[in-house]
Amino acid sequence: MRLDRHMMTIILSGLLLGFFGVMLSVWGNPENSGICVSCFIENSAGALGLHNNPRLQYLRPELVGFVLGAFASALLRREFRSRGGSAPLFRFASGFFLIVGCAVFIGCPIKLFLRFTAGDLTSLAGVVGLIVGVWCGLKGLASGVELGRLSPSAAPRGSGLLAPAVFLMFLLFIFISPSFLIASEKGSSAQHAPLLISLAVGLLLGFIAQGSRFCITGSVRDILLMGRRAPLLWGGTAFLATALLVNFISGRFNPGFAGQPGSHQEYLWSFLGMVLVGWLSVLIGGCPFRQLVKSGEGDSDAALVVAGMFLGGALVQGWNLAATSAGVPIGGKIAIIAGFVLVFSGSILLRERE
Amino acid sequence: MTFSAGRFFLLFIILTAIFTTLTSCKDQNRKVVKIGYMNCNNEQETRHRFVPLTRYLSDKVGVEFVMVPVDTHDFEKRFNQGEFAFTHTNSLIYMILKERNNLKLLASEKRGNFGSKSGGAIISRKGSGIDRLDQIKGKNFAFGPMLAPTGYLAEYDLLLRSGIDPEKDFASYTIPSGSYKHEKLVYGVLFGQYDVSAATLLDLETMTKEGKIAADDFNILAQTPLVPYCTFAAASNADPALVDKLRKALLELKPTDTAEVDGERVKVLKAAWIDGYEELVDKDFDLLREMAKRVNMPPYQKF
Amino acid sequence: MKFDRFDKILISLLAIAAVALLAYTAQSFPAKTTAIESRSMERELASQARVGLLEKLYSPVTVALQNGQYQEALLKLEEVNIRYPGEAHGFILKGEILYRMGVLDGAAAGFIRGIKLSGDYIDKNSPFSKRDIIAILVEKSLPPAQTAYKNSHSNPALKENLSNLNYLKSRLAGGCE
Repeated sequence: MRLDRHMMTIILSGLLLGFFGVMLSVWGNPENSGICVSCFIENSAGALGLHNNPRLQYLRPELVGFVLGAFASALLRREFRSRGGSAPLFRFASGFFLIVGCAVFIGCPIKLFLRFTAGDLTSLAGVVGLIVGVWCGLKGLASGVELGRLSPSAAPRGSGLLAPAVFLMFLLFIFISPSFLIASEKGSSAQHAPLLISLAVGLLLGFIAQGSRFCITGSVRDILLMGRRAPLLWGGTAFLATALLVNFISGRFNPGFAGQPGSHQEYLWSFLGMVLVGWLSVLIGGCPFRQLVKSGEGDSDAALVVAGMFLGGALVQGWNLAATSAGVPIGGKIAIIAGFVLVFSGSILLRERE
Repeated sequence: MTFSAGRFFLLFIILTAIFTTLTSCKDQNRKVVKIGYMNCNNEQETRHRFVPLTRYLSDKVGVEFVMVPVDTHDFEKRFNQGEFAFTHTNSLIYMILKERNNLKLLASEKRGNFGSKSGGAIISRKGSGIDRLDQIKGKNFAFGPMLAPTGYLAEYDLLLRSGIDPEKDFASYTIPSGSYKHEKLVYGVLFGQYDVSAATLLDLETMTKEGKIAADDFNILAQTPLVPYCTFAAASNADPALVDKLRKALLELKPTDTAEVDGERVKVLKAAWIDGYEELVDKDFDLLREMAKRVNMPPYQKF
Repeated sequence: MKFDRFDKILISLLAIAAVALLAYTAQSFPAKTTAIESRSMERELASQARVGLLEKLYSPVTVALQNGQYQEALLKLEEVNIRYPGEAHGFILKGEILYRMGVLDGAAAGFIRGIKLSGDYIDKNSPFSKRDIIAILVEKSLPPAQTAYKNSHSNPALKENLSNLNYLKSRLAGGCE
């Protein structure tokens, strides 16, 4: 391992993600959900009036922080470039199904490992699923499944500003609370860390992650491809070790299969949900967190994924697709299968053949 | 090669005939096994409730179960005569047959608020001036049928444990005649025929649910502990494989399961007024055994 | 970058639109937002109305329950259920009555049906919160339920009871819903 500046940034990203991932729970976010992009998106979709679940409506400042932090970092590093134009509708639909997969598992890949490091052994099915999904995605890439290259020319100059602008607007909403914005007074959305702390953590993580390109599925992908030589391996290890340590110290490590917070025991569907997330993430170039970060650095395609994720966040609640501690509703199972139909048909149609 | 419509028709007739013959042969070859069902109120009601369940069990287990409705007082005699190998009885009859014939417990019925268990109560009419158990001495009392665990045994035991001897401390006590004895008790108190009576909690619950009585019509003076409710059991010499299959079929029974009765698809559990089945162990009946010993009732009766 | 005339017009229009946007936004907040326009106010009204209505509807049940007349409470609950079957509050009250009567498996089943319909009952700050009683129920019932299931894996009732208790434990532990 060469400990150069890039490697240090990656390790720092892992450390911070692991630390704040647990600490945000300590400061008020729901258990094992200090950072959960899919949960945050469901919450924020609800806050904007896109679904009616009164227990899941809160415009999460962390989400805004991720995008604006990444935007600031990209500007500072002169890496902000408007780009896009590759299979936009597929990406939009992928964003939707990313949230479906996460909602059936109950958590995004970051939360998957936060659950795991808190002793939630039901998440093992998701861990295996994510690895299998990433592996399948890599097989797809190797076989020529390609969404097309991102092209600066396909995205007019400045169009990449739209996503940061929208999140800037959300930031304004957080502070001025317009009358249409809803905030749950009960349920898991009523549990949140203090606003300024959440926002600051979001900004910091978005800033660091933009520079390091750190992402959970990216780490899994690189480990599968490069083994120990993968720099993200060290970032991933730092993330897991820190989260485990902080969970231990804060008394949040409770190993077991039963009665874990925000979890269910339908292992097959946890597995399939994360296979879907892993596979889609490889195809579209990053997990939900990475999509947010990329949308902050001018990637319109990632912004479309984010838009799809918001639609997903609204519909998993509106159509009762999301799993709860009671298990996975039939609608969620159907949606997972539909997600695989998208993956399979997309892979067939988007495959470049010689 | 081409077929005419006539040949197709002929082929259809032949296939149908073969299929029908095979199916009927299969039915005829089924082993016949009898289940004795204890009549709660009357034979007609028993048939109405349990024919769909018996059909369902036949389909599930692959033997031809035949239902035999049996009056409570004849149950032990007819079982001993070998009239049926499987039983569906209340918990007291089960307990008697277990003690005397080593009956094997299969599955117990779940019904009402307490699932596979139920209890009894001592009730008086609201406004009758009888608000406490210590006020019932010298009154007219009514029990349910003598072999009813929660209409007679449990209440009798409760009274004895409360220092009231039914044989000495009431002006009179009676058991209503005919069928629907449990409901007659409740109505009897409501309309002033009896001052106080025993009542099964399940009947109070059902009658309230059906709007026949109001919760405010009665004072509940005391309540018995909960004991197991009706249960399926098997003779000790019954085929163990069949016993296991029957138990499994009962435990897996869901509210959506149906059986065909007179050409109609009927929901089995709904027809039988049951919520489902649960596997109890014989130890769960120990409370009832203690009651029977205290009340000097079968199978522990001493003369 | 050189701006032509069209650019300058657009920049001017953008500036006007931005100023207008700010002006209108400033105007609408916070003075013009009356209480009734606020969704949180509407929600609070609905919530309080629900609390009031439930208290009134179920008062015969709760009075009997508080007086320790559990069987009467159950019968009164049956009466309310005739008019309002499937109401979460009814299931929760049934759970509580059965808990007080010592019928713990039935209590767990009642609580679960209620909580699945409305998570408010497991929240700490809800006016009808049953969190404490559910926590005691889980603490009391889980170890024997685990042992019973370990001893008889084939019994679906034991499996259901254990999974009910695990569900309650998971809801008590929090996390996303």
